[in-house]
Amino acid sequence: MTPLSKRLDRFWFPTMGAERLAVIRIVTGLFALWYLVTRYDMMLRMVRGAAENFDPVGLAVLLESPVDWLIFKGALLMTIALGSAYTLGWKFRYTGPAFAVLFLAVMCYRNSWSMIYHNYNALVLQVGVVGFTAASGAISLDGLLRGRSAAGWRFGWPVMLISAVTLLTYFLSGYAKVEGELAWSWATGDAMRSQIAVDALRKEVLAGGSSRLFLWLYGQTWIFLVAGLGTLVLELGALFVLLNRKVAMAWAVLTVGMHWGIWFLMGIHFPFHMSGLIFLSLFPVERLWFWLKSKFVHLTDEEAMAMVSCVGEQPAVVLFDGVCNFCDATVRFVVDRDPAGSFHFASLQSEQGQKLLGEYGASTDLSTIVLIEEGKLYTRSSAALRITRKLRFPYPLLSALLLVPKPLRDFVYRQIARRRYRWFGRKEACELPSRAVAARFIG
Amino acid sequence: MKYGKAGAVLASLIVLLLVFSPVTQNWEKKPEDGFPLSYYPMFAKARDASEHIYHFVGFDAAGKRYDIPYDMVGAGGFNQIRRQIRKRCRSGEGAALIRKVGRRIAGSGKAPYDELVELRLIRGTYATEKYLLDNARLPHKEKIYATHKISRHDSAQ
Repeated sequence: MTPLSKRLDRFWFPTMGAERLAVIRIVTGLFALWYLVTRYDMMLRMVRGAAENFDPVGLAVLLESPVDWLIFKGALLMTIALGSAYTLGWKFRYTGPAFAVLFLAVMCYRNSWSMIYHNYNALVLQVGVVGFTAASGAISLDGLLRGRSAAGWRFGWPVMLISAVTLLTYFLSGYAKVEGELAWSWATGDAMRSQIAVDALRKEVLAGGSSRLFLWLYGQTWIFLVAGLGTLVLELGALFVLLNRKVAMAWAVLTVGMHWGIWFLMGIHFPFHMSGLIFLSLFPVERLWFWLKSKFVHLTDEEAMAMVSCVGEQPAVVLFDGVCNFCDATVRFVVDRDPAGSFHFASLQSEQGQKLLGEYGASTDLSTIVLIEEGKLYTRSSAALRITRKLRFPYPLLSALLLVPKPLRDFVYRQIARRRYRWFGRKEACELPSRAVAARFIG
Repeated sequence: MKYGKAGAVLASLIVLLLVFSPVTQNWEKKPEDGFPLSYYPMFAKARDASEHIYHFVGFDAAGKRYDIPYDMVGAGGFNQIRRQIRKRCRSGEGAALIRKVGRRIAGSGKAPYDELVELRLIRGTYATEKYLLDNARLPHKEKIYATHKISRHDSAQ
């Protein structure tokens, strides 16, 4: 593998526990069920309406005319049943793809009555990806029968794909704005103001009222300049945020804010987006599951590993020389000053330590502390100084030394590392860590 | 379902290309939106100072005018009903639609709509700024597509 393909491989196939994909399965399943159940009566009334309103989109283009409403009712009930199995992760190999396809068909039919509801595209696309991947590897009836949790790249790439698909839809939305008739007037706010004004006018006439907030804001043109420009930056920038986990999370938070803004101004409700559930794939949501689980049962090493080995996820992992007294003391020093639990630990000599080094293609040199953080591996002074950034004040001040040229920093580090056994002594074997420290150990 | 890495790359590429494919609609003369593969044309169309809105208005015995809300016209969301009214007007089916809406209104039991005696299906042209800032509520231009006298017997049909 070339360095580039290795990088791409690590980017698209991050090692991840099965839990994040499972959480996405449960959330998308529950959301789809909520949608289908709460709109059940409305959809049945709608499909019994005038056939002239039928304007097929998506899979519904295969139909020349609307189907009998009883057939639709049957399909709707079947979708709800399959959606329940999908959510529970029961016989997922069959129910996952079946629900994904049937939900797509029902939603296409639902959107074939003169109006496309863009606020549910992402849900259908996410269910499509989840349904055809290994999403029942954890928190599922299937997983319960297997009796073990799993981790690996098989659970990482579907999460990446869900993220990429979601972000792509935002980019398309931004692109359509600048490519359309309004072009870059979105950047001046004029386009946004005129769009919202027309929406408000229609609602005043057809729905008996629009957003009071908008009517008040309509005269404040500068607000639309900020909001229009912000919208454009968020949407066009969506394609690039996947390259950095923290930027992606910040982007998601801002975008949720944008949807709330749309709701306040236009009354347009995007429940999947406004709740932030659309962006679960960008966050380490499995930690919530582990936290819940740890309240009832003790987490296994495998589960702890699954939690920390998500490349690019918190907490970071520190690998250290397990037979060196100085390194041992350093770990205790970090644990005592890291109340947030930002770091997990493994000795360089342990199986997990060697495995992580292998994954990153790093040498098994024992003379350096290693930090794996946000998908990157740091050694020597870079690792040590980066660790201080997450410790209690005043230790983060030491990270300013990162400004010192690396060769100089590493020279000093090497001098200490070379003499660590002589100055601080060594143990014959890795000692068992204390109870408090053991909880932070992997492997 | 289980995939090898090559299968996963292939599946990912297919899905991403499919989701991205509607971008070509931006360059079409007559673009068509789809579901769930959309090019997200909302808010991409330029707006004039005036807006045409197809909708129903009703009059009571005293001649007072009321805009008829969308949920009295049909089942579905606000924009869906708005589009359905426009579509049926343009395709010459306004007369059939107004009779249906007349029956629904007569039987609605909702004041003040149950007191209406006449219904009109119109295309109102509204000056957006004047409507929102000066509260000029009546259209400055109006085209009537269909009219319907509401009878109390309508509700029984």
